[in-house]
Amino acid sequence: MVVGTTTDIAGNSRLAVRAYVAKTGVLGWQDQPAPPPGYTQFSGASRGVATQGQRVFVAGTVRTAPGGIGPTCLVRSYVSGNGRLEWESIHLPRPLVASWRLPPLASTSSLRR
Amino acid sequence: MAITAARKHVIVAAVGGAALDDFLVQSYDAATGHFLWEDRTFVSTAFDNEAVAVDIEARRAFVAGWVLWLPGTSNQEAFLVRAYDTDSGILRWEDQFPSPQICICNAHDVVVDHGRVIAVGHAAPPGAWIVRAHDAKRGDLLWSDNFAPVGGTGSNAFAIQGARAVAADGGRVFVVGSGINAGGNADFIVRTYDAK
Repeated sequence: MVVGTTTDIAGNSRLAVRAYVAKTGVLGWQDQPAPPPGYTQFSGASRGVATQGQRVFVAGTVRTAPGGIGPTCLVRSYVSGNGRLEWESIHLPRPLVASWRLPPLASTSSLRR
Repeated sequence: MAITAARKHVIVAAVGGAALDDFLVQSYDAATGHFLWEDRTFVSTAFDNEAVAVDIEARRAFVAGWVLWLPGTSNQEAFLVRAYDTDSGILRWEDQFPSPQICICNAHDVVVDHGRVIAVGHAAPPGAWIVRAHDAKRGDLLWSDNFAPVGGTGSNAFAIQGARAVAADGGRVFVVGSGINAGGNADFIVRTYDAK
């Protein structure tokens, strides 16, 4: 399983997922999904793929514009054998004020339990 | 951004926010995609916080990245490792390491192996590697190594070198990255540690 990003001449990025047969290198399946409605950018990440059993999980980042702020995480689950999409999930981070957290003060290394 | 899966959970380490960039961790149900829990930092800048690596062992997720070091100045960043209960998302422990010197200290990778969490990245002086090993359950710092290649940052004061990736196997920890040598060129470097 390989995950990355392709970018067209207009600067629009697309998540790219490609599954190869490990023994031969033959391409088994691939997916290059469009971003969800409201977004124009969809990027992959080099560590954005994990496998578990017969599933492949891919994480990407969607944005409203090239280089735009407010990146949002999107996760897709595929059946590893045939590339069938099982689910796609996107969850907007909760409001900023609700998660305000200050780090501990003035220690070189702060451990908290 | 990174993703990992274990048992019924998918854990994502990312950067996110409505307008600002945060150290963001999200968990999803592996079978259904249902959102389970989230944790994030918010320390008021648009570029000083990010989660970039994650690993899981024994129902704990360990996430590495960096966060703005508020007691510091000039957007000083601290190397950050957080440990979560994978079922509840409860934060079990965290380590923020800003380095004794003013530093853009970032963790770039993390691995957990047999109860030890190893996080790697760069720290001060500029171009230096940092490797920190924690007890997975309690978060205690077991050992650390700060390795400074002789060339510092070389001719590019903005170049960020350091440790970039880590793996563990058979009681050993393998760390790979780059550093500037005495001739001013960047070397590819692999260092091996005893995990204990």
